[in-house]
Amino acid sequence: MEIDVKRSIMAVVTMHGDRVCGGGAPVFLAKDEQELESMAAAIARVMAGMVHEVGEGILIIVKH
Amino acid sequence: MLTIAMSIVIGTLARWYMLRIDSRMYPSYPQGYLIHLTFGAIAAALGAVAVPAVMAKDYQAVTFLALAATQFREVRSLERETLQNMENTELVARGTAYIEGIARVFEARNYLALLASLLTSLVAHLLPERLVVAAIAGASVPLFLRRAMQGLRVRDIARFCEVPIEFDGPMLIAGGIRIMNVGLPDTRRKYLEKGVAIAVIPKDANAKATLSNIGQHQAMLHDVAGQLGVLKDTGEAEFTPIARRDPVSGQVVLVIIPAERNIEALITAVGSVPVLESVRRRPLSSKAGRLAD
Repeated sequence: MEIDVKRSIMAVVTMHGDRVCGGGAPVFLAKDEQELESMAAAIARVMAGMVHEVGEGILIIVKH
Repeated sequence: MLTIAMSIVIGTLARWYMLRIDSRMYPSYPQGYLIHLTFGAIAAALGAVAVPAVMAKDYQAVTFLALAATQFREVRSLERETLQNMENTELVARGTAYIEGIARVFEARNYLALLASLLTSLVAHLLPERLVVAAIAGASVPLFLRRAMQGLRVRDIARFCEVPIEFDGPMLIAGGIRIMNVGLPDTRRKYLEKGVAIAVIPKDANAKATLSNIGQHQAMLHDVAGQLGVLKDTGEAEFTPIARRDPVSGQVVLVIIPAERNIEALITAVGSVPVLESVRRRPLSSKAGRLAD
């Protein structure tokens, strides 16, 4: 049987390390906006997740 | 003997006729075709021998009909299982409600073959001199039931219109309804350039209740994506077509990036989606529903 994680934050990508605390999901720090987007897009593609913006410069990748 | 053979042929033809009219519901693989024709022939055979058995006072033969019912329930689970196993391979899932609906149709059509041959055999026994009448009576069963069994389509219970897609920060908004949070600017651009949003506006309170079902939303998305194609590949969750409902008006907005951006084709596709029989609601038939309307 295949087990698949759903409705869970797979990763957090942010430019503001001080506003995100480590928790269940790995946190990736980006140095600028361009890197923020490319990192989020790469992780989302690998994990088949969706990128959501929860605040300025804070992106989460969620598997629905 | 002739009447039995004739009933079987007519029952099988009835099943064949129902296989043909619905190409979309039917994944047209030759094996599946054969499976259902064979089941139809078995159903027809059971219907055909029931009348002569009763005439010969062999009442035990009727229990065979009960056996048939069990067999046809198997057909339902067979179809359900196949479609559920396929679900992971679909870019846009059918959803459990749609699968259940399709499986139920397959079961029902076997009973139709049984009824057609039963009626043929009955009329043939009552009027042994006029076998043509029996054939016509049997053949009329699928012809009459075809419309009745087709059920409603979404276009019968709703109107459609295109609504603009816009963004409020990361939030995708279509027709005033907040649809989803899109994080990547690239994805937002693609939605603005190529995305289409269709509002499905229920015609009355019954339609509003029916269209609130998530299974019905998924069925619409699956059929639209199947008929118009969707600009999405595995792993691209952000381009999965999505449906959201306005809780106040009851209208459902579908947002999709189709392979072909043709509004008329989109509306036709949404309109021809069947209203799933198991999700239909009729609040207007109750006193409370009428008072609330």
